[in-house]
Amino acid sequence: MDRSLEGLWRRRSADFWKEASPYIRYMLQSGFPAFLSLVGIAFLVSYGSFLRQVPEHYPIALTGAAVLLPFVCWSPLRSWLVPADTVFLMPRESGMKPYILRSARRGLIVTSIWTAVVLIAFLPLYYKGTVPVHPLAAAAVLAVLKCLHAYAAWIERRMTYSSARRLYRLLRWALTIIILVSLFTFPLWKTLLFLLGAAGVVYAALKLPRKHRFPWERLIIEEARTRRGYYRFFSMFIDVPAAGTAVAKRAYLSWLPSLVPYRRRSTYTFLYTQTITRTETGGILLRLTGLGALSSFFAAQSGSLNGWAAVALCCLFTAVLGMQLGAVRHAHRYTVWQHVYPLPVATRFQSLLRAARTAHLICAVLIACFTVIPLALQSLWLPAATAALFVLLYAAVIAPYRLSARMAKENEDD
Amino acid sequence: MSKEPILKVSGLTGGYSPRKPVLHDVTFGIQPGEMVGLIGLNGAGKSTTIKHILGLMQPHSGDVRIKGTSLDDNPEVYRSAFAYVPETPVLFDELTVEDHLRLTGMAYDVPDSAYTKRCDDLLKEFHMNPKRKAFAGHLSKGMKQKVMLMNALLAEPPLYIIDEPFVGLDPLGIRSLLERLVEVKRKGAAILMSSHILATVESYCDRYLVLHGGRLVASGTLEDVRKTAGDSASSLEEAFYRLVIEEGDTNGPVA
Repeated sequence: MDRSLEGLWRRRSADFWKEASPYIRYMLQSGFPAFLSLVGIAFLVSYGSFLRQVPEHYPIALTGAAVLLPFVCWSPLRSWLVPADTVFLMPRESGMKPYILRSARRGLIVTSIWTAVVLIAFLPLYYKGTVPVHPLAAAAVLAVLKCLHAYAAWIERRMTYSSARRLYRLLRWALTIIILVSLFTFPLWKTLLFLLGAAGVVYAALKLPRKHRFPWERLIIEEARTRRGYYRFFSMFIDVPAAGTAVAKRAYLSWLPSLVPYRRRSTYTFLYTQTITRTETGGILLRLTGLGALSSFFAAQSGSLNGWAAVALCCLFTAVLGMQLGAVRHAHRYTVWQHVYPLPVATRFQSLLRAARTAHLICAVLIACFTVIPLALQSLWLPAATAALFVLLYAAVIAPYRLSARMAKENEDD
Repeated sequence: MSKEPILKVSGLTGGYSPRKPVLHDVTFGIQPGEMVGLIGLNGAGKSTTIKHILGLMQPHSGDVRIKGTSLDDNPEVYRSAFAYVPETPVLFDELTVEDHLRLTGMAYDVPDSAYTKRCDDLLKEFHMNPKRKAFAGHLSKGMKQKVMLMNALLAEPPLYIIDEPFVGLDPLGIRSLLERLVEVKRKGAAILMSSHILATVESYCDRYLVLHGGRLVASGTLEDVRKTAGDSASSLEEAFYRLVIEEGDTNGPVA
């Protein structure tokens, strides 16, 4: 048996993918790849149509910087660490360097590939502008940036206080957006000079905060969060083992649960409203709504395919919202309290459906507003009416019906 | 004259497999205004007994009634008659301390006006006011246990089923809990409390149920338990020790 820590890394990685492989198979069989292809085609059609008529003063450098920013800054670290490691692996802390380097290498390779894909997608738009830097030179700068981010993200993970970690991450992202805008605007030497200065400042600043020698707790939290993310994704297609959930306060949404009246029959509605607003589902819904509203708005504004590209995007995002909300049915499915509370079991199902439908309608109608209004302003009445009708029909009737049918089937299986 | 028991367990035989029951013909009742200690070694069947009362497990034979109603007769009436505090706190990660109290208030139909007062009193008594907006996941083990206890006490049901309430509680929490239990008992509630802290059980409980190997080997007042143990001058702990050690196997038979 391979007792080295690198061997342990390989075993844990293999175990995870072995555990996930049946779920990946289900996902592939579910028609999700076809759905993704459809999204890809819709994007390519909209993008192609946009490239044919890029406005004269369109902020190309800012757009490139904005789309590349998350991919350049994103520095994940699959450590495979679990809570029990603080007991069994901690005594071997001094030998953890090769273990964690392996994680860092993997993270860097994966995110670099994604960054390259985004850069390639950006190039046709880039060539519509002044092209101050050759794409290969830009790619080299991005590669250097990726390495610097991987290093800085590791030091941030070691920081004792989460407030310091957040502050440094903000600094890293702020400097990177400036570097990226500069890269696509000014001659290369100016960007390199700024990059050198910024890297020096960050490097010196990273020395200041108190740090752990090896951030066990941070890595365990991150690993658990990543696993939850995978299982959450798989749960859209098949039942998966429950793995807890990350919680965020989202104070700006606290008015939503307070709308639920204090009465017995609303007990589960109160619970599920909190679940939707405060768990990862809430974060995903917010991001999808923002992304859906923005992409539909731009597609509608450009009038791509006589407005039908915007309709397709609006419908796609409405459907994805439904898929995400479908995963809420797993929340509290096995909680002991449903057997203890003096409430009929059916109340939980009805409340879940009500909360999911309301959330779906709010998010989908928001996306629809950003689609229908620009289309209507261009007198594209048929696409505007189609988008409005689909959103209402899907969010209010079709998605709740499908969710109800799935819950009924799962209830029988239980 | 004996009053109608709030909880009546009659000839309860049950467990996870019909071929291997954990509980054997367990019979007992709890009257209003009575605190009963359920004691036994690990694996004696305490949690299994509680699960049968809650309706989480179905008896192989026998019957469980709360206020004269079985779970099959009327699940809502049955369940609204008790509050449960599990051995390990079971909280919703996305809810704050206050949200949990609100959820319980809604589930048990606590009137709005009473809810606010009870909520404020409990938060104060259990020294949880500074944590009222904290998420369950950010609480220590003892604080989570306090939240469970506060939720049970908020409902003010006729019966409390409390499994190992002192685990993780700080001395102030233990005192607040015991004071509250004495108060609800005085108001007529019945309490079934499982615990390994025998000195506390002896001080606060009116009667005791000694489970061993899934059988009720002794029950009644301290006098009755002493008599069954064959030592009329012993403490509850000594009597318990005599009752469970006699067979040589501390866990006793389960079948």
